[in-house]
Amino acid sequence: MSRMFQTISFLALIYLIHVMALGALASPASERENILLHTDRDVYVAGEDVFFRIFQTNENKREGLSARIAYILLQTPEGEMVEGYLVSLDETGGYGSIYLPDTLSSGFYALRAYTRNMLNRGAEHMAQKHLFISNRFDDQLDVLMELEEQPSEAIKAPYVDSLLSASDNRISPEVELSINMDSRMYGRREQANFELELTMPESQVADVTLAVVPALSLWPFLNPDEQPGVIAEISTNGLNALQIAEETVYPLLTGRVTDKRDHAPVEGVRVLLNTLDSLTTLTYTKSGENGYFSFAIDPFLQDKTIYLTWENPGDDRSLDLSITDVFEAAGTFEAYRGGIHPSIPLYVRESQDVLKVQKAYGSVYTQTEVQDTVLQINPHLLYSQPIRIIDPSRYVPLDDFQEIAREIIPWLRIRRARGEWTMQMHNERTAYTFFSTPPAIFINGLPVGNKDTLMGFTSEMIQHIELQNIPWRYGDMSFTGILSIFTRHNLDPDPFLPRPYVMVDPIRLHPPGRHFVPVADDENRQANTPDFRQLLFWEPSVIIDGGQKSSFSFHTGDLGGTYVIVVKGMLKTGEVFYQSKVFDVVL
Amino acid sequence: MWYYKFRSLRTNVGIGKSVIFALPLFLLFIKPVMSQAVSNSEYHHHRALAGEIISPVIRYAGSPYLFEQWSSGEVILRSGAVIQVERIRYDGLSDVLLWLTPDDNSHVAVDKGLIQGFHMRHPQRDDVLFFYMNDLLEEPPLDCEQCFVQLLETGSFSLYARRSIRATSRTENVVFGGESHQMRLLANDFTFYLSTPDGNTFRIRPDRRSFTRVFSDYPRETRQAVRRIGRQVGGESDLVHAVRDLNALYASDPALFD
Repeated sequence: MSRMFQTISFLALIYLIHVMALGALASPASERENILLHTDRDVYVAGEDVFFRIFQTNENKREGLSARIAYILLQTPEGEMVEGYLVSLDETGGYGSIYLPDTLSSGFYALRAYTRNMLNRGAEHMAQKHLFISNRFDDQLDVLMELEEQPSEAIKAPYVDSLLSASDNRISPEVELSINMDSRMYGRREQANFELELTMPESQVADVTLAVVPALSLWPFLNPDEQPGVIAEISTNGLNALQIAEETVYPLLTGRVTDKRDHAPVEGVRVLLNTLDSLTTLTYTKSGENGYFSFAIDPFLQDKTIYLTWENPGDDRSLDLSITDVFEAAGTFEAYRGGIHPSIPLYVRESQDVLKVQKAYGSVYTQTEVQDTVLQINPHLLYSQPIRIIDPSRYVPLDDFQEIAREIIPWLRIRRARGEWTMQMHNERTAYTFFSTPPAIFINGLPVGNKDTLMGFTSEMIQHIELQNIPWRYGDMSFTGILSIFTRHNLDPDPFLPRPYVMVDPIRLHPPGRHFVPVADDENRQANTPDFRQLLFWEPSVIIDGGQKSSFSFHTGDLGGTYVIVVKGMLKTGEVFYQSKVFDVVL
Repeated sequence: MWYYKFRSLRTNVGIGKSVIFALPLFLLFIKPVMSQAVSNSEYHHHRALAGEIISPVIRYAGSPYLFEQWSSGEVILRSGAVIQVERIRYDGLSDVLLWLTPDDNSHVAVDKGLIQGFHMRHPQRDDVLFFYMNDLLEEPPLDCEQCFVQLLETGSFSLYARRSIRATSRTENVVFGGESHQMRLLANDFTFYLSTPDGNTFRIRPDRRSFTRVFSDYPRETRQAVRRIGRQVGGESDLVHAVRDLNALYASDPALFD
């Protein structure tokens, strides 16, 4: 009995060590990041921009945050993605803007944000913010009208009152935030100044987002708890938890190789990545255990259509390759169903009219931020210089590639036998020897499977031909010569690409959009162009050190009403704070 | 030895059977986790070493390599990605980096247009040698486009070496394939270059006179200080030490070299 107890204890110990190792290796504390998503408003009209801020945090008080890519998507309650973007993060988070397509129908939508690592924890742990978006031509606003008819107990109190009642400006026992304005009331196109006073220990740092918006554009009942979700442990439920790697530098393109017959994962398959290019490049990786593979989409590969091909396993298996859709995992959400205050539909209608005026005057309040860092682009060259470059335009026009090879490429031998084209390349390092196996062929940087397209090339179609007719090594791949052809005009690669192949849409980082405010000079004040901004001020990221006061200013527009300065921030220690200040614009 | 320890554990300690049973289980559990953790770090850069597969032929007497033995090291690609390699060696005759592929032992002359340089472990000493492409250095010491230069000391004053091996006019008999062949003899042709803070580069020999001559146009005080440093220079390692001392002197009194 005692012996059995010892055995069981030891096995339990082993399991414990395993679980600890799993936690330590697959998800160290720094990797268990979480996101808090903040937007300038809660209600928009299709055709406007949503300005957002992503605060990155983790269970380690924001120390060692390593995710550099976040995914942000706008979706319907049914889980249908409207827009999805990749956002670049720094050690605190990221920001940007999303244009709401004019064709969106009125209704509730959710903006979700997550990192790849958060995908491991499931949709419920993603940062989420519910928004209401109205189509600017939807006069009926049925979605809101139905809500207004709800029983009176479900009707939410006017949010201005709830904001005014939030007089406690203490964030935590040691941090206090005050918003001090130079006036309680402003006129049309008047400059307003305010000061943020954060009383906190000098060791603290606050990361703050500031917005000045109409009070009626904030619907606190839509997002009653805007805290980041509970930081969950990465599920150790099977190997699925480990499939999605972390994006600490570049976005990743991940996928899986499986056997077509039984969908069993296939390990060790070389997956090749190519893009249309004026250089001969190649990127490859091998599927690991469970069939997963991953490519880092560095600046060279970003913004390009990607073509994936894979090597035949050499047996009777037929392989399938699937790409991980990082926007697929977002899931559904339940739209708001409670009552609303009668002033809400009136405000939404007014916002629709405001946007119509903005569109009529072509007013744009978003600017793409110019990046001051120059991206270093390093092509994944297969070779730096070809042995030979042939320019067919220097010779008499020739009608097909076989003739071109025969007349001007003596290092290439092309034969046709039993309906198949065969090619051999002369080994430059020998006098007369041709390689016994065919060369690798590329057209405009893409691998060639079907040579028929190439054989139809005339001299006029080809810009130049590169020959690397030496035994060549690239990583663990060996080539008996490389033939690379570049055409004068763009070519549909489908006919010549090896079968099967997967085409992946360009992966690009969403350029950060900044709120642009016209200069508040005298000339502008007298201008006839209406200044119908709903968002008077947006500063997505301000870092305030302990014991420091920060001053800001903005100018009002041509829309009167009650406005709110909203301050949302996160301390260095990961605590979230929210503060607001109400003022009026009287025309 | 391991078997003996295992046996003793099994007979003397009560949990021996558990160890036998649980160890493979533990390894089974831990392996996928470890492999994943390793592969995560490899995602950040694309890395593949490229070059021509060559067949070494004996054309000269003597070795064309800086060291006959292969040694481990790392190759720095132009992208900045670093590839750890088990077996590399530098061919001073052809000025190429050779890579012995791990799978089929092919000799690959690494494409110089794709790399920034390489760091190679000294096969005899506990030391690492730093080689870079001359044209990629901030102030290229040599007048050649794609040649390797070894960085011996870096600072305000930097010392470089070109590790050339050249065929001399002397010949020697070499026996291979059962026959004796008379072949030209290879000899080291190492040259050293000192770059100064004002951006000039001087070709120097590893001796006292050549070292002090670089500073012949400087004021008397500087020349004296340099002479003190260069007193011991009588070989390559002395030269490296002297440049190190020169950097220390410059750090303490830069005006001396104005």
